[in-house]
Order: sequence, then structure tokens, then C-alpha cells
Amino acid sequence: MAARLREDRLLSRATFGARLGDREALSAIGAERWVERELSSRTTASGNSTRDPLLRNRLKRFTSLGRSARELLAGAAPDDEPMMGAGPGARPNKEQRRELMQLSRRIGREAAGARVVRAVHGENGLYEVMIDFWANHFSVNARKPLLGAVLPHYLDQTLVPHALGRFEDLLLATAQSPAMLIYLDNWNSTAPRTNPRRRRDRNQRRRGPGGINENYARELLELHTLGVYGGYDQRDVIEVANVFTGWSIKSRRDPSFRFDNALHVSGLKRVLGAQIREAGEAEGRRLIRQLAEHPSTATHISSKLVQRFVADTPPASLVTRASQRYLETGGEISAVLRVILLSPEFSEAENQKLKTPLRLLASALRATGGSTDGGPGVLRTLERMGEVPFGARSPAGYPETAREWINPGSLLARMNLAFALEGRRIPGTRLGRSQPEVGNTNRRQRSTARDARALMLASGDFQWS
Amino acid sequence: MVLTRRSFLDVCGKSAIAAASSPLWLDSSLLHAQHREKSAPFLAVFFLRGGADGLHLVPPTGDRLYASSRQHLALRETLPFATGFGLHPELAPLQDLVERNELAVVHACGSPEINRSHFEAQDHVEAGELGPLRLRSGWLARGLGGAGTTSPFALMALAAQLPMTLHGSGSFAIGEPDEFGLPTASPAARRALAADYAAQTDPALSRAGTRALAALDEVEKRLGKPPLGNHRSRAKGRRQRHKRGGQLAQKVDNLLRLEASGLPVRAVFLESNSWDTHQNQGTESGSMANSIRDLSTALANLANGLRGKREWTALVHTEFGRTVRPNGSRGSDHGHGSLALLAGSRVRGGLHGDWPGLAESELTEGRDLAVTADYRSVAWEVLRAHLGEPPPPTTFPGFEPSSLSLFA
Repeated sequence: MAARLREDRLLSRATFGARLGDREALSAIGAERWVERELSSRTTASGNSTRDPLLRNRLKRFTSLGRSARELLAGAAPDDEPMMGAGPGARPNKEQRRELMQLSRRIGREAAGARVVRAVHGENGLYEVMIDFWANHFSVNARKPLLGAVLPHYLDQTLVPHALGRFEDLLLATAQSPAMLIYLDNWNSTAPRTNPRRRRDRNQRRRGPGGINENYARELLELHTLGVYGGYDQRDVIEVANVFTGWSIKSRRDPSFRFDNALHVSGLKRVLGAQIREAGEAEGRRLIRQLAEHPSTATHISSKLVQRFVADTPPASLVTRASQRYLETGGEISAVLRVILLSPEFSEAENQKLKTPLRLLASALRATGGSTDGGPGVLRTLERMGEVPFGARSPAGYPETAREWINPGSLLARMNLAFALEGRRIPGTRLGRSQPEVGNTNRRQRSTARDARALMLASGDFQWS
Repeated sequence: MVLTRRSFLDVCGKSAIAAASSPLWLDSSLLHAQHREKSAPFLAVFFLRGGADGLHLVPPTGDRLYASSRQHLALRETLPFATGFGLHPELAPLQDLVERNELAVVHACGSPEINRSHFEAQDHVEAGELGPLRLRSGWLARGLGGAGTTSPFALMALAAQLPMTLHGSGSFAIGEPDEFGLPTASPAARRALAADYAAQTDPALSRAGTRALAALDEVEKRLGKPPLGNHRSRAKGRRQRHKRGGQLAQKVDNLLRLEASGLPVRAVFLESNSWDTHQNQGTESGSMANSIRDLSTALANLANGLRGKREWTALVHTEFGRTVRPNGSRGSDHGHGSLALLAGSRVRGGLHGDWPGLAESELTEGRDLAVTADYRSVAWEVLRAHLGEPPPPTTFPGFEPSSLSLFA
């Protein structure tokens, strides 16, 4: 019984939902071998994967994937200082600016669409789930000006390569990603400017007097690594911000990572009781390692993974085992996942997980052999349901627990989703043919069968994974 | 869950049994709530997205720097309001409210945070938090969370999707009342769903699903079933209607229809997004004047629709104000302080707040109207007036509202 439940749950939680044939394939090799196979699978930015020849084709329509922001923005971006548009007088050329924002949004929608396509069509099920997990853990919001343009890079170069690797590598990749630098304002966190004569130049006025911006430092500690009760205080936040001063981007035209020593706060820093000697960019790398190896980080990451895969209230014993494994392996994500997915807690009947809107949509399409193009239709649907990729309002990402997703408004939206899918009313997205046996039926019976399938997708049971 | 004949039969079987045992799945608490709500106070919150220019809505014509600093954006004709302050001529529909002493202006109102990004400033104001956001819910949802009613209509949004202000409220966003529903589900399918959710073992899911369907039934009973048809053509029709009538006025019409139908509506959120006036803002007429006409028409219609029937309050606010000086495109850029408008039967009419003046030394960063009234203090007093008691402390955690005495 538990073995059966484990197999069901591996498909419904460690992938975006079982497809026809998945269940049989898993039963044939057993849970352990299935988990090993998933943990060793690899997929690349463009969807290249030995196991997944089709995904690549499906991702081809997103032409901005695999291209740098510099390439994407060529011609549209004014060649000037990095300016995100929030500052005074930040619009040297309105037309160019508007064009740039529109282009950026369009590019951002491609990255979001690619995530939907990956979730629905990815053959490497667990890998795709982990890309989604990290995209939410290291959440950025595409509505921030210019952020869309760097999302292909964020998905391809930051999240995909490290989704099943070491946490430290992923953390460093996010810290240096233009998306995170822009989203949490670190690009603009600098040593205070002291030269009084420079205050009068135009750029200086636009950018204000300078100084650190604590936004990234705080989220790095609270959300990305240690957790809110991870044992740091406001002095640590300021020191972390000092360490990361100078971690910036080249320019609006070329928003790629650049360390600028001129913006860096010099001198000795002290974070969580440890000294960090003056070493420019290397200070930040050292701090990333220190944070990744911290026991609070092990607990925080393990707890979030257990909450994602096992239960809204993570069983403490499993969190302890997972975080021990994290520390033993130096933060190997696959080792932690192995502990969680093969644990007895994973197949305990009462540990239910509600599907978020994206998981609901993907599982409906996967269950019926359906398809999506990741285009505006499906993104609008997900936006309305409150979980469009790269759209979370808070740097804490979308909520994970049922409590935050269950309310009458969202339930009505879930029911409407089922009927919209069945009625083919989401452009570019449709259910497959797979449905309850109908056999030789007349028209009226067929329409009843379709109703039945929509009903099944809208039913309470289908909301859980 | 894999699609099989077994699960299909399972769903249908369960439905048939449950439908037989509970043919009437209308939440009885919903019906009960209605009687109480009919005369309960009514609250409407209008959010002007884009950063509405407070200096244009209620120009400080008495400030000696007004004409020189606003330059070609300065209004020459205004309606009388308070000493030193006029109203934009397109606010004329509100003159009746002014005469009744039912229109209040809190000038130089806004967030203490200086944030000139629409997206962040809107999110922060709607969440009722200074950044970074933590609560993942909206201030109005928290403020009315404990207000003793069980209907999902108690608090709702007239919007295409649930705005952040209402996140965490368990309420609905209704874009077009005529489209609210499960347009393609057959009555039999609806009954099956109701039975399915009634039989769910998870109490929260069961309750939410049941209430969603009960709410749907309730709306349809009062307004008729939404027409079946192509989504796209209806969306087009909607856009055309908005073009004619204005976003907010249209929504208030819908709102009054819902209210008059007897739905237990206590509080609503409405929004419009035409306030980002970077170019050709205009003065007595022009693009912003059109938006102002829409707002004042909406408020006046709301007042006329509710006056004498219920106690009511309307709060109008925005994410930030605009630069005092015009920009190079005959418009204004993102600024800081703006204003809040209040209307309602118990509002103390007139001008409130401390006017910081337009002297460069008083302007935030030498360019924007300062904020002297925290929007959270305004919202807190609005909630207190609406609830008849202070809102829960979770509404604005850690925030001490200052007294503005906006209500009698």
C-alpha cells in the first residue's frame, strides 16, 4: 500500500503529473531506481537532453532563449549608465525607453512561457520540478523595469544548470545574475560617494548620494540561506550589504554581471562572527560559501524541500535527516532529495499536498496527453489564477501551503480552468485525447463524456497531488 | 491522479450519492448573512494606478509658488473647495458632496517610503507594508478579515483579477458580473461539482468549493445566467463599453447592480489605470481631465446609489504623486506625495492634513511634494469608521496611526 502510494506520489509531486504510461514505467523499475534515474538526468538551457529530444523543439519558438540580454537589447537600449528608471530624471529619451520596456516585457514573457512548456512537456520530471522550485526560492518579478530582458539568462544560465547540483553553486549563480542584481537593487548598492564636487554632475544627482542598499543582503540571509530565525541581526545585514557593494551590472544596454571595485566598501567586514578581509569581489564569494555551509541554511533549505514534496507542515524528523545529509555532502541537492523522496514520511497517507495553479494546469495537460505553446493565452490564465512564472509579488515567491491557495475565488477559477481546457478556450493550450473510455457512442454520449472529464479535472480529488 | 475509468466512475458515483442527499447546497450562512448586511455600512476603495497627480486633482491655488512651479500644468479655472485649494473643474459632479460636507481631501498623503517604481510602490501600498513584503496579503483583506460575515461577497473586487489589496481575503474578483460564472458547465455538471466538494474530506477545500458554487448560484439567481458565447467577442464588447463610459463609472454601475440585487456586499475594491501622465497631461481639459471626469462620475453615482439606503464611505488613493514641475513632454514624472479623497455619509468634509508647501526646501529630494500624512493612518480611520471599532492590529503590523479626525 505504502509502495503504491509512493509510486503515485513520485509521479504527482516529483514531476508535474503522471502521463499515460508513466505509472507502468515506474512500477516496472521500482521507486528507488526511478529516483536514481531522475536524479542523474540532465537537461540544458535549450532543452537539450538525451532523454528529451522533443522538448528542444518545443522551446525553439522562444527565440530569446540562449541569447544574452546585450544581444536582445541591441538597438533598443540607450547607451548610458546603468539606470533602472526609478530615479529622478531617468528618462533621457522617452521613445527609446518605452521601446526598451516593451521589448523587455516581451522577452520576459518568453522566459515565463518556456517555464510552462518545460513543466508540461519536460521528460526529466524531477529536474523540471526543481527548476520551478528554485525559480520560486530565488524569486524575481518580471514586472520590475528591465528585468524581463535578463530572464532568459536567469532561466538558462542560472537556474537550469544548477537545479540538481550543489546549493553553493546555485547561490553564487543567483548572486551574480543580472536578474537578482536588478530585482533586489544590489546593482545600485554602493559605497557612499564622498567627493563633494562630483555631487553636482548630472549622473550624480540622478543616482543620489549613493550608499548601500540592504535589500539583497536581507533577502539573501532571510529567504535564500539562513531563514528568518537563522541567527543573524541587523548588523549582519549591513555588513553583508557592504561585502556585496560593487556587485553590479555593466549597463542598461549590456546588463551582465560586473564587479566594480570603485563602488566597493573597503576594509574589514564581520558577518555572523567571522571576519572577512578586504578582498574585493572575493569577499562576496567567500561569504556565499560561508552561508551555503551554515547549519541554518541546511535546515532552511531542507525544510522548504520537505514542505514542497511531503507536507505543508514539514515533519521535523525528516527535516533533521535531510539537513544532516545536506551538511554531510556539502549541500548536494540530489543527495537531500534522495533522502526526502525515499523517506517513509513521503508515503504517509495523511500528508496531502495541494496543487498550485501551475501544477494543476500542467497535471491536467500531462494526464490527458495535452499540449501548450507557453504563449499569451496560457500565461494570462496562470496570471489570473495567481501563479504566472516570474510573477510573484514578494521576493519570498509564491506560497507553498494549501492554506494560502484555498478560497472560494480560487476554487471557482480552478473549476473554470477545467471547463476552459475541455472547451478549448485557452489559445495555444489543449487537452489531449486521452479520456475515460467512451467506445462506440453517439454525439450526446460523447458530450457527456467530455463533461465528465472536465468534472474530473475540476473535482476536489484532482486538486491534490 | 491518472485518468482512468475507475477514477471517472468514482467521481460520478460520489456525485450521485451526494447530490441525492443534499439537493440544496446553498450555504445557509450566506442567506442568513444577507439580512444583516442589507443595512450594514458600505465601503468602497478606489485605487488609482499609475501615480495620480494630487496637485492636479486638488490644486493648491493659494500657494504662492503654485503657478511658477507647475508652469503650464497650473490650472487657471478651479472649483471652490477650501482656503487656498480648489478642485479640478472635472470634479464638478462632486459639488453636491462638497455642499453636504461629505467630501474630504487629505493632501500631501502617501507612503513614507520613497519609491518611484509603479510596480513596487503599488505592491507596497496594496500590501499595507513598507518593503520588503512579508505578509503576502493585502491591507483591506487583513483589516476586514474579522468582520463578522461569512459571505465571499462581503469583500470583493470589481476587477479582472484579485488585486493585492484583497489577497488573503478569500473573496472574489468580478470583472463583469455578466461573465461571472462557470459559463460552459451544464446544470448537471454544476450539481455534480457541488456534490463532489460537499463530500471532500479536507474541510477547507470542501468549504471553499461549496461556497464558490453557492456564490455562483446566488449571483445567477439575482442577475441571470451569464450568456454562453465566445470569450473574445465579449471581451471586445467590454472594451468598447469602457471606451464610452470610463472604467470606474462602468464599474460603479456594475457594483450598484450587484448591491441592489441584494447580494451581501459590504466592501469593494475598484481600480483604474490611466493616471500615469508622463505626456500631454493637459490642464482643465485633456487626458488627465478625462480620467478625473470618470472618477468624479463614479463617486457621484455611488453616492446617489447609496445615499439614504446605507451608511457609506469611499476612499480614493494612489501609489505616489508626481513631480511638481512639468517634464519635457508636457506631463509630469513619478513623484512622492499625492492625496487621498474621502467621501461618505460620516466623513468630516473639507481639507485635512498639513500642507508642506511647494518651496524647494520643503520638497522631497527638491522635486516632489512631501508626504505629511501616512496613507495607513487614513486607511486605519476609514476601517475604524466602517467597522465601528479599531481594525485588527494585524492590518498594519507595527504601525501607530496618527489621528487625522477624518470622521465625525
